[in-house]
Amino acid sequence: MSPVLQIEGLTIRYPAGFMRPPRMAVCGAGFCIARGQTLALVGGSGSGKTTLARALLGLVPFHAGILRIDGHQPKTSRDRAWKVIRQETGMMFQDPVASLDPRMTVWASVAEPLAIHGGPGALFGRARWQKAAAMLDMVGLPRTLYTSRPAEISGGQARRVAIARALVLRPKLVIADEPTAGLDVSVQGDVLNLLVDLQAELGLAYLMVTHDLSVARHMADSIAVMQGGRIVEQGAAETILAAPVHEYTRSLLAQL
Amino acid sequence: MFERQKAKTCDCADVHAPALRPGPENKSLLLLFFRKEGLSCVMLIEIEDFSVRYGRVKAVAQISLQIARGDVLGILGESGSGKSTLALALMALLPRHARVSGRLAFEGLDLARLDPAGRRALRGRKIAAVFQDPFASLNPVMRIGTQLAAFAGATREAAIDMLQRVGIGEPERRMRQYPFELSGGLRQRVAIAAALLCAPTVLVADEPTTALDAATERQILALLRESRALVDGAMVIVSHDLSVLAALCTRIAVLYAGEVVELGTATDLLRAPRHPYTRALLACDLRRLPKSAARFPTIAGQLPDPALPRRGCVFAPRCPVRLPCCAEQAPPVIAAPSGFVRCHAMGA
Repeated sequence: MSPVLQIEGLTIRYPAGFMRPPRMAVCGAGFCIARGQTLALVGGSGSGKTTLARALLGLVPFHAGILRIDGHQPKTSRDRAWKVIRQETGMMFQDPVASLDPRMTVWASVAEPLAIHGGPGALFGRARWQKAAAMLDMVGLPRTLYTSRPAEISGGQARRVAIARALVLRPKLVIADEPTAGLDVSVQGDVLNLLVDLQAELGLAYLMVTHDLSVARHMADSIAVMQGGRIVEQGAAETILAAPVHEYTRSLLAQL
Repeated sequence: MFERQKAKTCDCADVHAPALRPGPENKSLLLLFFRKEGLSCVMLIEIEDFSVRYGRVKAVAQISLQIARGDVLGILGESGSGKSTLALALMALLPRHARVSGRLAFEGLDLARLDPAGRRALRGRKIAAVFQDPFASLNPVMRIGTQLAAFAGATREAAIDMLQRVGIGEPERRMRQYPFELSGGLRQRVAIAAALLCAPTVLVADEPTTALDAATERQILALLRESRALVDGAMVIVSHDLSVLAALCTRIAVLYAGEVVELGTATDLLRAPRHPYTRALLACDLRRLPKSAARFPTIAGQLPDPALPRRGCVFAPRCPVRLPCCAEQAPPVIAAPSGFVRCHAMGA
């Protein structure tokens, strides 16, 4: 079976800016994720992991390499394949409150992707709102909060809304950028349990971007370790955790 | 002592706070202190039945703590626990609309009742602060050197010397740079240098490593640990992360819904947590979770509404070892080897 996500030699360069030389953010990254599998992309801040995740949706242009999501392979940044890719891929950004429109109710935020990506057979009116409500119900958001705005709900609840928005189009791949960042320890377990349940229920593939190997240890089937824009080590989670080869991976493991 | 504490916690309307007497939970600490520092047994900070309200919301509820010279006190709490409010109170930075009751005395001065001029005289001289986001706490349009001179009143030589001491290479060059040119770790080092330049009696650090990644976090923790020698007084570290506090603190106070539910040394708390909330928090730490665990542990339920009046134990609705009396009576303060725990189940 072909993988849901496949990248080869992906290279992303940030152009020079004011008082700043050009910078290779990601250099020759390659990995693939099969259906229903979880790959954890681990690295410190500035290692390029978030840039790589954003490039998978075309939010950052890449300069070289191949990206294939569910058989669609965009050639340019304006390729029509991006639209399909964005339907097939759900994205959870690092800061859920900032990633939601502050003026929209959370219900409207979850219904919005249905209107954008519905195509000719788009869901109209009631059906769309019902589908969004079903999704919010699935992530366990209390009904009383459907008409709240992002600023009125807690971090954990905003995280649930972000998950609902990412999943409402029933994607095959979900990119979760630091899914537990900014959550209390007592709440992060709830969010991770929800992600695990949804994966089993919907057969999702996850790309989890995290700096925390302890999250990767419990969720990932495979792990890719990034440092300075390069993937320095990757493989099955058990192998990497049991016998890390690269020095940087060892130092990450030492913190566990 | 128990009787007095119990009576006090039950009767919230008691305006006349009894004078501070060394109770069993203080006594062990006092003894420790005697051994270490000789005979000067004056507590640097005495918090006595201290509460803070914002309108109807009770952020900090009847906290009593003592901080001695040489202490490094950790304040552990999740969001909504009141830890930041307590930190602001310690920094003499509480906003004007905060309603305060009880006493928070710093060297005998009641911080909460000081006039603005009195507070200003303390901040940046006797009390220094390190905040979570070093980018927000540094002035973006001032060079590092200018800020250090302006905030801490330091000479150029002293500033360069301090930058070197907090592990910043090429301090002369850094002095000419602006905050945006520095990485997060470097900025936090500058913020710590600024705090240390004041030669404070108390250094309060509110979530000093939350904005940093794991490797930088360890460096900053090591730096804070070394800074203890430079602070002639006490340090207070506020964090949601027990491992951060365990690395730095002599004692840790666990805050839940504005109350201190447990106090003890870091080793005692980590090895043998007594309060059910502390135990649940430790169980949630993924680093301690066995690989075989099928589910991620959580604490079911939610924080109580801070605007509602309180009755019984604040943690009772979420507590796995709840007793019938928990919903009715405020929990007693029970002395532990290195502090106290407030729980009915511990007394039974």
